[in-house]
Amino acid sequence: MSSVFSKAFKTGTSQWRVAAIVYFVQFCLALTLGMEVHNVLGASIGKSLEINKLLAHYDHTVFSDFLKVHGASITPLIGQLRWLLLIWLLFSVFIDAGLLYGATEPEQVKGSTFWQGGARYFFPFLKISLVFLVLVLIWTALIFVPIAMFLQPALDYFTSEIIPVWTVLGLLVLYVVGLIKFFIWSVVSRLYHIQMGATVPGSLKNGRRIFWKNKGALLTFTFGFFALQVLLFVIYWWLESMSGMTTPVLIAVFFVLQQAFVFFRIQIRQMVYDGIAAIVGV
Amino acid sequence: MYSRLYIFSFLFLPLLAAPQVHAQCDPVFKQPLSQRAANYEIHVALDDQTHTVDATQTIRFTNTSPVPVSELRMYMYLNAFKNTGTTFLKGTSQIFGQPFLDRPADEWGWIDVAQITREGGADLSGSMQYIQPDDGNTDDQSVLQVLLDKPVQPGETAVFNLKWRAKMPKTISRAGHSKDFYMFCHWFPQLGVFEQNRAGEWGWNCHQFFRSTEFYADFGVYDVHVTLADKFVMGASGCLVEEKNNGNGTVTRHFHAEDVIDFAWSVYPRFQVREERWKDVQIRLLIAPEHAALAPRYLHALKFALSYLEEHVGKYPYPGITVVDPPFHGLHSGLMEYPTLITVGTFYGMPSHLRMTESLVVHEFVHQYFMGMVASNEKEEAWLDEGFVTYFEDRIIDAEYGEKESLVNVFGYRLDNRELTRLEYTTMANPREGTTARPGWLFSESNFKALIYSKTATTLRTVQELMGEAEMDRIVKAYFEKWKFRHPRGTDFMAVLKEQLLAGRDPAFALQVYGLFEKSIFDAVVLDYAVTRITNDAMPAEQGVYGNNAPSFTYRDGSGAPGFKAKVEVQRKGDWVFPVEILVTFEDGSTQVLNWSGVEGSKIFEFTGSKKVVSAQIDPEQKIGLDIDLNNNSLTLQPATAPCWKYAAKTIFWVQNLMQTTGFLM
Repeated sequence: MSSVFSKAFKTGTSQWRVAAIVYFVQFCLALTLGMEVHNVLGASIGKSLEINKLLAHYDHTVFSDFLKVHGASITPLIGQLRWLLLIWLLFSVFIDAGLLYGATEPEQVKGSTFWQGGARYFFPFLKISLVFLVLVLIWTALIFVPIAMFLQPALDYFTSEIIPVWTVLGLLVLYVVGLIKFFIWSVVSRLYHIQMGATVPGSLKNGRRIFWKNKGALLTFTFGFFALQVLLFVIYWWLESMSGMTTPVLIAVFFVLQQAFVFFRIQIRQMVYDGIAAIVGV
Repeated sequence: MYSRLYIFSFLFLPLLAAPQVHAQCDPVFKQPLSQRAANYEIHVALDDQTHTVDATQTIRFTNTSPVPVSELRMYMYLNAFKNTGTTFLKGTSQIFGQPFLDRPADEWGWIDVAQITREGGADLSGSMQYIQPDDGNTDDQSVLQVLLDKPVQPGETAVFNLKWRAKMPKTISRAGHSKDFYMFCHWFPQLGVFEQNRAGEWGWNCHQFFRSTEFYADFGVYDVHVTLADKFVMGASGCLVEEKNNGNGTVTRHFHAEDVIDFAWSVYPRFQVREERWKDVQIRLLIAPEHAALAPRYLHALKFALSYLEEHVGKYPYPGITVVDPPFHGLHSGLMEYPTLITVGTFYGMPSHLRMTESLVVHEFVHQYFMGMVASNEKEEAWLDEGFVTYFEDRIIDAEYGEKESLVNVFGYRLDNRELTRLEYTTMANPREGTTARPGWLFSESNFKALIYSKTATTLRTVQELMGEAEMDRIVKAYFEKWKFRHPRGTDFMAVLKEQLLAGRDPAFALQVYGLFEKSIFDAVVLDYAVTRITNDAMPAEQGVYGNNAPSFTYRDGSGAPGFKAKVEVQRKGDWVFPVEILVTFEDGSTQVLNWSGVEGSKIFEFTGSKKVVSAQIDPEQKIGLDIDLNNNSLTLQPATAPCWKYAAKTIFWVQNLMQTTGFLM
């Protein structure tokens, strides 16, 4: 397993050009929203001295007074975010196709490999994605609908809230584990499709079979990188809480740090795909 | 040896079976602290299978008025939970967010007086009737009138004996039971207050029970003997005098409280008890076991509150305070105050950076001062207790846990108590919805808290900021010392406020501050000032001939430094007029403070000189928290763009992460 990790790490980092393409697309999309926030803040309270308080810390009074008076200007941003996510999901299919194609030929990955894979496998992967999206929605309903229906009665039924609380936490863990399993199955199915040229149903069926055969290694590997991302989040939050974006210089420093974090997350995705491909023998 | 053992057994063994007696509880005070007009002795037995209590009760009523009293009026609060026709439950399907309809028969509550006699023999049972003095709703039985056989003369003490039974509901609004947890609050027939109304007429102040009102009763001495199953751990107002084991699986506990306006008690078999002392105050915390880890937080906050209030308001005179932390399924009994007993509420695993636990216990404890000792009428003038309590809750929590972060501090998201209080008022959909000084039943659920709690507290805070904390303490102390163990009205507080403000400093300013408070409570206006424009028009350097007469004429050729004519425009956007300071800053860093009466809706201040104005700020120290929009109080011609870039960067980062995470779903 450690060799799988190290190989995946090495391969993922070596494909930085492909990661840069993905990062660029993602950054451009996010930038549209970020600049809107900049403009809205500037136009509404940008000329007030109160906005200076936001530099040192989050200030609830400044934000609340802002939302009360200028809240209507935030509503379009929420709508924009929704559309942005939708567009991104479609892009994701293309991006995954490019990354996974690169995972099947790690030695030969170039920028052109990425575009080639994305274009060739976009439509079959879109079908696979929709299947998994439905599965995720069903899984979400299976977990959260009972919680919504039974949490309050459970709180009334039991002597204390300990059992309901731990049950909900357990269900949330189960939910995340389920999402990870769907993710792995989805990746294996797509890799199978690339390698064997199978139909979508055939890829899904064989993907499940291969996942089940290698589930221990696949789950360990994927959880490892999931835990790495959580660790990176915690480190980032800790750094920001220690120092914060309190001066123009620190804003620039943390912006670079943030973007490095995002870029590394993309590379982690590549590493995960490469590692899964190695485990299942693609 | 045998004889000594025999003597030992004879003398000491009986003591082992004897009831536990707690000294220094009866009496508590050497001299009464109040008039003690309404005194109660209640013997009550709880049947926890049927959730009923049977009681005999003696009321000793002393007529402290100068007129005869020919009737009694009593609160029968539990009847508010009898059916959906009561004034309390009418027209709603939820109370405090809890649905209550579709209950089986045994989950409704009621109280019924079977008999009332007057000492001396007269049976008054036939003269009992329910009355509805406020809304005429004949289905409402929350006020019981008893016509007397003969009046109680001024100065006379009359004794009445009652037999009654009550059914505790499954908790609807504070009172009731949830599984084997019970909260007995407003649970017995309790006299209203015989007093003068605003027109000077003497009569009973005994309102029906409305959803948006709380309680009002007279001071007295309570002796309550509760017989219940010995499995129950019990907390009550006052102190425990005696506990007797009845030998049949029940115990009888006698609690005694002096100079209080009410008596509450709570029982639950699973309570854990923590007892600590703060000076001479015994703190007794009854906590659900799953919340035991939070006990230190409750106790620390309570002790700090005791210390803070002693310093800034006055001494807490009672020998103890009981804190009841209900189990989660009984949380609807939480978050409430009774004399020397408060109910709080928390949740298993409540993180330490969310301080609702501390905030609640402090809030309910401060009620011991405002409501418990300064016993204003919570039904008619709720602002007099809730506003003051919220104000001190903010001061205490912020003092102990830090301004800007006292209530919440999680991953950089920060909020303090005072901010939350102000925002509850300023974010009202319509801050002009009505005055604060109205009877509670005239409020809706949407504006009750915002006006009574938050606007009053923010107003008190504004007075503090304008006058200084030391002066504010002097005002509050004077009010507390004058009105403790009495029933002040709003006008009584206003009189103290005016007197103390005028004693403090400049009369003109004092009257302005008084006027601000008066307007806040008795009017429905909105305070909002804004700096709307700053301009700097260049003026050419002086050129031409200057001087009054020819011999003194001088020529200036225009080569001197140009000047500026700067204008700062301010507006009063609200309809509340209050004088404000304006801090004007010039390009060289120098400043000038202006005063504006606020009478004009808009005013332009002009400056002529060699320096431009770069910024202007109304109320630069933000003393006037009542201003509903602080962001428009200032304007600068040199805006800092860094904050906008900071939040743009954060937005980009978190959107990118969101996109990454959702991408995994596909």
